[in-house]
Amino acid sequence: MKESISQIEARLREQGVEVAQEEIESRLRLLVETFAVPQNEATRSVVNYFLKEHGITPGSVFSKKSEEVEVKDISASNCWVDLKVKVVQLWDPTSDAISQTGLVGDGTGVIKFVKWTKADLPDLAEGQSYLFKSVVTDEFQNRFSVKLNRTSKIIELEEDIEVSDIASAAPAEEMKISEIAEPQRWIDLKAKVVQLWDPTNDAISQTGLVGDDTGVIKFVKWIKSDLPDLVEDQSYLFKNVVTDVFQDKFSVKLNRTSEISELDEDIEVSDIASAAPAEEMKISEIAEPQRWIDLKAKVVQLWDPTSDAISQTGLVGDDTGVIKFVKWVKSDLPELTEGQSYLFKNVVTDVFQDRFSVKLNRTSEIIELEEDIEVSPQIAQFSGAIVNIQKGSGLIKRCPVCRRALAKGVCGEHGRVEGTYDLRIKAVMDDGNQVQEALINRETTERLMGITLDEAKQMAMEALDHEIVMGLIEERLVGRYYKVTGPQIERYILVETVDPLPPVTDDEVAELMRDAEGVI
Amino acid sequence: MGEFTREVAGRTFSQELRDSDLTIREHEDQYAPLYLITPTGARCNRVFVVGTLTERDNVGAETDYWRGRIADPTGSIPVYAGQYQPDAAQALAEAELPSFVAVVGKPSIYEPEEGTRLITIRAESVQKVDAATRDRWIVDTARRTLERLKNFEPSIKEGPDAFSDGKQLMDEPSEEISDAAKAQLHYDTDLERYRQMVVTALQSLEKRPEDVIEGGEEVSDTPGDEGYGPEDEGDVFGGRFGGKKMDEDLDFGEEINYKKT
Repeated sequence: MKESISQIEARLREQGVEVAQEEIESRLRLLVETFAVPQNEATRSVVNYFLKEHGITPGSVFSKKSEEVEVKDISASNCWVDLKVKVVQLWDPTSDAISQTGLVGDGTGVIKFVKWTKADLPDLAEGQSYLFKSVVTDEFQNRFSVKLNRTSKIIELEEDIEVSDIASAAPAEEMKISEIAEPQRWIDLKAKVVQLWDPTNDAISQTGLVGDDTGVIKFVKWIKSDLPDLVEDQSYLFKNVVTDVFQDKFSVKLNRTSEISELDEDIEVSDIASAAPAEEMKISEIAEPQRWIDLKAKVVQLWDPTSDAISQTGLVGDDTGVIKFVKWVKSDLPELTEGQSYLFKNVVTDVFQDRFSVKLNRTSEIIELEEDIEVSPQIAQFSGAIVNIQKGSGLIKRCPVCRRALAKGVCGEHGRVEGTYDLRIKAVMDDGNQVQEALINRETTERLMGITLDEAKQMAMEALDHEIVMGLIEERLVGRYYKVTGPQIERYILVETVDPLPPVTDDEVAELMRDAEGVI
Repeated sequence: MGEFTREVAGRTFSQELRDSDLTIREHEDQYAPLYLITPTGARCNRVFVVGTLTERDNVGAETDYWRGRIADPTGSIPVYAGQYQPDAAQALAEAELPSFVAVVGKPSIYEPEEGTRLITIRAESVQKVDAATRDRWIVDTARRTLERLKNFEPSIKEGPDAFSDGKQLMDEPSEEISDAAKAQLHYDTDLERYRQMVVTALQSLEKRPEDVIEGGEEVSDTPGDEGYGPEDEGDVFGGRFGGKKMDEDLDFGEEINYKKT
């Protein structure tokens, strides 16, 4: 310790700074003893601390060196790169913060770009080639993009950059629905319109399901596409439509470059409401939406239907787990009783936010069983650090009809509605070996945070910002260790108990020390 | 239908993280995530570190760009947060010095020149935590590191060639074992060095403050701690690993000049 103090003193003196030994010692002891910083790290830190105290600051020249790369080279986020690319497509920005967005490409691939409004850069034109200087790479769900910001430059090129693949060259390939496995592929599809739904958004002219003999898929036809209206049960050739994915479900988008032609032939649609006999399944085996199955299960709970279209909803269970069910009014099926076991014939699986459910509709049958199905709630527990609080945590609004969380005041099913407040936490826990998502409901959130829903509302009102509650949750929970228990449903634990891990004990340390001695 | 799963956050002490320079990608696909393989075979696309924030500076020019230094009982690691990590940057900017912080982030490799690779963490989140959480992290990280060291058993029993002659790799090893093999082949991992690192970290938990006051010298004599010797002189601003000294502060092309203002 003494030696370090003299070293620090000498180092400071070199810079013309005199500090009393006691001051150095107390700073050094704070770091080494209270904060367990290794001696050499602490020494370094103390020197820098006193230099700064005396106005000697680490000034810096921050020059971002960007490197010219090709699209295929982009494999990490937050890199500054230069790119020679052609604008392949411009899309409608989804936010005021974005001035332009779309796809750019070169001979090696295409990549999404985002040009921020704040960047104050000139507008890009479709089909024009540019040199992008100092753009920054980003990553979202393992897909890369480039962001053009204030420090970026755009230089128009005389030369025409050749773009590989997508939307330019490559003619759309005809595909079957079951073959659709990645987003942003341009494809042709022969399919029948199975169902038309009410569009939930002014930008959409029609949406619903189309199907072929391999499956069904959701489609969205944009108003802007200016395409003719589709009719239920009619078969079409959809040319040059683009695949998309949202929450693990694929869809196809019909836009301005797409074409629709009516077919004389009648496309057979597999699955849904047609052929394929339903297969008997256990609840834990349900792993994909839109499968027609038979299920032997007991009604565990009945909930209040949240919509006039629903006659009954709740949980059914078997010895492998529990699952939500929805029985439509239109299905005209008999009433279910809590605690009674049934054979549910020809019900269809669905998924929402990674949680599966089964829907009982007109083609379904319900048969009362004599036997009593045993239900396993699959209680799980997990200990680890909370490493992330997901979007949609904190003070949220739910649709008064279906209880779904609203996104910007809009319900995915019922459009713009006057939401009701709720409090919840979607936490990501991590023990260094695996990741576990945990859903914490209002009651448990209130207990954990020591704040009621009303207080949370009050806070948000005062701050004029709902996000303040989310911020508070992050501050309190992220980086800390907890143990949670509750039923495991798909990738979530529905948290019933949540407790901070107890302080480290001497025994724990001693045991690990013994392990360390014998490990090699 | 591929489900997006979040990458596990690796638990490694800073000493091991700074020794790391092996990256792998599972497949050619440009969207495949990049992993850092550490000397004991931790596979990190993300890391979770709890330690003492000893320094922080805004090193950005046009926009804020915060650099912090997180120390644990085995060394320290630089942490960065800029305009794309606004919450983390703000947390760094507002943090007290010293204080305990928990950092979730992506390991980032910077090559100032051919053959030199430096590891930093690009913070996704920085949160102030308490001493109990820091202690829990040391135990957590010690446990995970020991688990990884156990994966080297084949090479201990059968010599260092156990992995390289392909014998272990023939009978479809687990991902953990095959990552240990990758680490062994790349780093020729000095297992004793990392065993000592774990011991050093655990010893920091055994020490009570009063013991240290009695025998202050003990701290620098901790086995495995290289201490601060004359050879490090003039390196107070830099790192402590051989040729990497000083360079680490040049990360991302910035230059540090200590100027009197």
